[in-house]
Amino acid sequence: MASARLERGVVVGARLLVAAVFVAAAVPKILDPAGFAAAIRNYQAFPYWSWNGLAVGVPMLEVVGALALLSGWKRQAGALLLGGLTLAFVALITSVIVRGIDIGCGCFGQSEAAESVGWPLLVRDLGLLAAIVVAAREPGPLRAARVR
Amino acid sequence: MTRARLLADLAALVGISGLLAGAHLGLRDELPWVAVEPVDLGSCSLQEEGAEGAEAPSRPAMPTISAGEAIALVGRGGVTFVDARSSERFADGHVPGALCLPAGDAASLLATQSLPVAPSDLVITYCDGQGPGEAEALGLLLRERLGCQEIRVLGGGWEQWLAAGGPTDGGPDRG
Repeated sequence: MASARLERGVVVGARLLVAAVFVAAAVPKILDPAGFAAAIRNYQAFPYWSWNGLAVGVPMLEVVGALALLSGWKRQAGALLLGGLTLAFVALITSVIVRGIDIGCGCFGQSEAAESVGWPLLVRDLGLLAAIVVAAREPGPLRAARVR
Repeated sequence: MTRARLLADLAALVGISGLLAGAHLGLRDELPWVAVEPVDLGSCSLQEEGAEGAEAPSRPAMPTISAGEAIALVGRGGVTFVDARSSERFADGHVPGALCLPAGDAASLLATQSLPVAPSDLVITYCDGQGPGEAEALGLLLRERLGCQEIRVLGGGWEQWLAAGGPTDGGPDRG
């Protein structure tokens, strides 16, 4: 029983953490799409005609995925969506490190204290990916406890 | 949950995101947020030809840097020289470490390739030396596409660089 509660706590905690991170990342981008479009441009990885579309679309994907994960409505798909986004971010960060470009990540909007793209950011995103995997789990043992 | 169901749910979430993004777009009217209009740079020799060069004054001026000052920056970290001349002229000789970005092809090249230039870099563009027009326009394009803010046009271009005794790479002398 204790382990079931612990597992449920870990899973719920992971969902709250992941959803909070993605909503916190999306809101500044939604409020300042121009800043996020400039951040996308700085990555030098996308054709110029896609910058504005990505600047509007990516934050919405983050919000919708986070709400799905948190609410339980299409939770698995929400986790898959957020996992896919995070994998894409990891690939982008890796390419920036390999190309040796010094840019701000734009992950939480274009603030003055924007984090640079580098190894710490890559490690953080890999940690986020692990949290998404945990958050996608259904805590089965809890259902067994209810039945009993 | 089956894979088909999962993919259908995923498509639903993406669709909802698309609708929200469309609504967000509809609420804003200041597009484009980042300039996406291709800049017609012509080529370095445009000013020699004369006629179409008359449109150049409409471009905002870029700050210039003298050949003497620029020579002192060769090889420094965070400084990138960008050669706006043709690739043939680049092969005949260029500033050491300079990137070859022919002005006439720059817009399409930047749309499909990335350059090892950070937005924080000091970028120095140059042309042959007939005038700053195309090097200046290339600088504006780099500002738009790469977010570079510190851009200088080499005063007098390549001709002044050679006259000032600047170091060169390439060309027949290097064999």
